[in-house]
Amino acid sequence: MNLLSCAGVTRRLEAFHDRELAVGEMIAIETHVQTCPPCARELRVLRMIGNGVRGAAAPAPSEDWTGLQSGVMSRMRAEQHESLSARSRRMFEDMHLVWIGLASTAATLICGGVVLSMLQFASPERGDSLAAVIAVMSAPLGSDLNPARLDGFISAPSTVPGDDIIQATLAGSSSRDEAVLPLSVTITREGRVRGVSLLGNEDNHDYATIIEAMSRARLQPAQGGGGPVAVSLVWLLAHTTVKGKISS
Amino acid sequence: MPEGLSVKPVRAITWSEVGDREALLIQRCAAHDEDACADLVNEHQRMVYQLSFNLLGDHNEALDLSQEVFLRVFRTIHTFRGQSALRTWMFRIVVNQARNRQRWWRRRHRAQQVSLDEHIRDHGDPPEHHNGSSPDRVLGQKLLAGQISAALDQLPFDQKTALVLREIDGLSYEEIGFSLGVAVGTVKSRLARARESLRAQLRQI
Repeated sequence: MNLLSCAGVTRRLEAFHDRELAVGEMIAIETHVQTCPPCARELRVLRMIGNGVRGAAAPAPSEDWTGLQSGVMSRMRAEQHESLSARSRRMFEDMHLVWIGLASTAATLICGGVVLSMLQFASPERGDSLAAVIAVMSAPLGSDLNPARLDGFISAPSTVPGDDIIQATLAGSSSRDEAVLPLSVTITREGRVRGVSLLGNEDNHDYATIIEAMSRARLQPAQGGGGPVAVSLVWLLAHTTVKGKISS
Repeated sequence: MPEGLSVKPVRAITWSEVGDREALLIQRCAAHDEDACADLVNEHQRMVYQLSFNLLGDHNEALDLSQEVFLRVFRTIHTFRGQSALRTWMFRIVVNQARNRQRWWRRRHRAQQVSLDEHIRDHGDPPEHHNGSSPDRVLGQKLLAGQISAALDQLPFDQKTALVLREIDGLSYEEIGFSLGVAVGTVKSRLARARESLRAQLRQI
């Protein structure tokens, strides 16, 4: 049997006093306290407390609970014959459980309300978020989400014959005589123009009408691999005024 | 021997160990047999009253609580599945009812709480225990019991209950844990804190 240190005995002393240790440990501690005055003193204090508690709570004389049995039995009989409303009232006598239930229900509702309002007012997914980048990368090349670059294998989108919305808008909106506008656009597989933005240092505000007209335009989509594909491209829009020389 | 604290293993009690007589008594009480209910009260009234009195410290309160406990026992005895001894299960009911009553009492009579000195003046000293010892020893024990009684009243309810169940009713940690609805580790810490508080009181003697 290993000998225990005083620290080990002190840690186990309450369990030893309460006889909650295994037999081997009980014997080891009993042996230790017989030869160690400080630990023996600690044990004496524990025993003194136990004796004091038992002494403070002296056994009550049997007269103290005289009538308990008859009282219980008569109340039992009364309960068996009590009305439904009286039983219901008794169920709510101890209101602390009711308050706890109401409080937890209210807390659940408040949490639910907060979560719903957060969902309601949360901003939509940002374009530069990691989720959005992953979604774009996982989309097939040439889809609306992941448009292809215009190269030699893809035929460029073209205007629909008879659709003169762009020309008409440009003719009516541009205040300058000469202008070349570089526009970054995406043409979807359906031929719609998306994400129109002006490149360079030009102020978008000056060309808002043009950009809006471009956004509403419908083109014949780019073709690649035997079908329509979405493409992103730079669109150069030139506005030129040709002035004729008036001969006298 | 390992340095880590080990605790004597305790087995859960099964129906077969509850005892045929007690099992039969429980079944009869669940079937609202009045004679069986009377027998059960007769058998456990001392234990229920004594614990109630130790927890509440008032005869009338303890008597009233004991009645409530037995009524609660008969209302819910059909749910007793032998997960503990009947006695331990009843301890649990006593503790819960006493806790509720004390909570209720504190809410309504907070302003009427009295100091320890007033309590001893009004209720007198604790009862004496003559066991053939010398007068000095009896006087010392009386003083100690008085101090500890006053210190016990100052302890938080859960610590006081754990100490009473351990030192007076002799319940094991496992049984105290069941009665209080807490883990064995919590029982140990509550006992340690309660004893430390009492030890502090004893140092002043």
